[in-house]
Amino acid sequence: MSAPAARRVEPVAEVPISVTVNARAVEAVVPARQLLADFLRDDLRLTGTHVGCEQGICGACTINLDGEPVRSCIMLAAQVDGSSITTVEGLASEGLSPLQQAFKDNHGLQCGFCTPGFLMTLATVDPDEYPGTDGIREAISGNLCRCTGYGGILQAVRTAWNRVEDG
Amino acid sequence: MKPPPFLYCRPRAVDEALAVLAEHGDEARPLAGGQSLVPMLNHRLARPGVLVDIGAITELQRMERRASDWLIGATVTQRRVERHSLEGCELLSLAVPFIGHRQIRARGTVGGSIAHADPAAELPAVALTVDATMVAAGRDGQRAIGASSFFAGPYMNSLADGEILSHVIFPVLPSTTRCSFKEFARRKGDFAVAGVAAAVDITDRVVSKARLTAFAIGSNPVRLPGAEGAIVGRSLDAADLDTAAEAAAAEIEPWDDIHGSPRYRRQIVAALLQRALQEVAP
Repeated sequence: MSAPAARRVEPVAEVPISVTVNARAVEAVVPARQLLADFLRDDLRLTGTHVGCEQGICGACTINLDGEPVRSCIMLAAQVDGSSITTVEGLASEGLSPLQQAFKDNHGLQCGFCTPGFLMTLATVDPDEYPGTDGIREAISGNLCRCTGYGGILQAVRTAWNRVEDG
Repeated sequence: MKPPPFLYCRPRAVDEALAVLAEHGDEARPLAGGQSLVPMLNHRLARPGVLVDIGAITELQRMERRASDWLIGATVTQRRVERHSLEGCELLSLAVPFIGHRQIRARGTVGGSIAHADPAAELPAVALTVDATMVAAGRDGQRAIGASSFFAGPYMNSLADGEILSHVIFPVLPSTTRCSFKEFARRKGDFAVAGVAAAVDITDRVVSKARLTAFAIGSNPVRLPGAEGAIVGRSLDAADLDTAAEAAAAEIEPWDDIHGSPRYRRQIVAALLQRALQEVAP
């Protein structure tokens, strides 16, 4: 018996996807060119995911994709078929999560534009992989803040991660 | 900006991907992690008619320790490499944390970075230093391409039309090989202004073999035969480091851009090479 011929794959302009977003099953047909960030914001109305640079630099659009922090502005919605996503809206069921509360208490935000990205990065990574203050700096190095400065953010993370200041 | 319109498919097997690439020719491009290609689409620097997403092809996600090497599938993420310490592949483990940020490494792939051949990228420098083999898959089967002939200029590789990079073979280095990876960037995670990679064999407290590479200084990473020759047989004392650094600065021809003049890049390469050799010294 000869090997079966390769399945013929037809490129399409509209892509059906099924994805879990904040524990909710979503079925959609998305334009091939649609960015994941735009799918979340425009189609699902989850506007907590912010779009800053649209080129994978600023980190404002960071979400949790299958347990990893990723930039949703440099992913296509079509690529997440079969995946599970958490956005900032999924961080707390009511009120604020401890991480969000720590940002609030420690002046970890000013205008708040970058905050969802910081929160999603920090809520997704394992704190043990990022020890000390240098570890926190490394963890947030892929997120840019242009107004608060990073001092309040560092303090917020120390609080949320139960760390004493080490310089 | 947003990507221009294109058609998209997500094949499950290499044969399926190759069939689409063959059918659509120049119009089609493979999409791996997308951490370089999607920004290029957003900027409209790339306008492919068809994107062939190879992210769901399981045979490209293999990561296997074999008798004398590691086989790393093209779409193995950089994060996956970061999380596993690949015994005998220390240079790869040292280089990966320099790639972008955690969010980039979560999606960015080993094969994507190597095929993209960004002059400032880390993985092409690692591949050249350890003499990795790139294995291309085409409709006529597989073909091995050595690192010294794979990179064909800035953002160019020597894959033929219709081929994709299937996997990369990183040789396992002997325990006598010590590795170091250094780069300088204005901010952590930015593209390097210049960088060096070193894999140095030490026998009886002297260098028996040296493989040194500079990157982010020109079209592609380059080996540093002058500096390599200068340290073979030496114990890597302070004078040896100076000699090697001078040789490296003299033998490279760095390009000139807004991030650094040739003179500045020569100085960076010299300084980084000294630090790298200090680290591997017996």
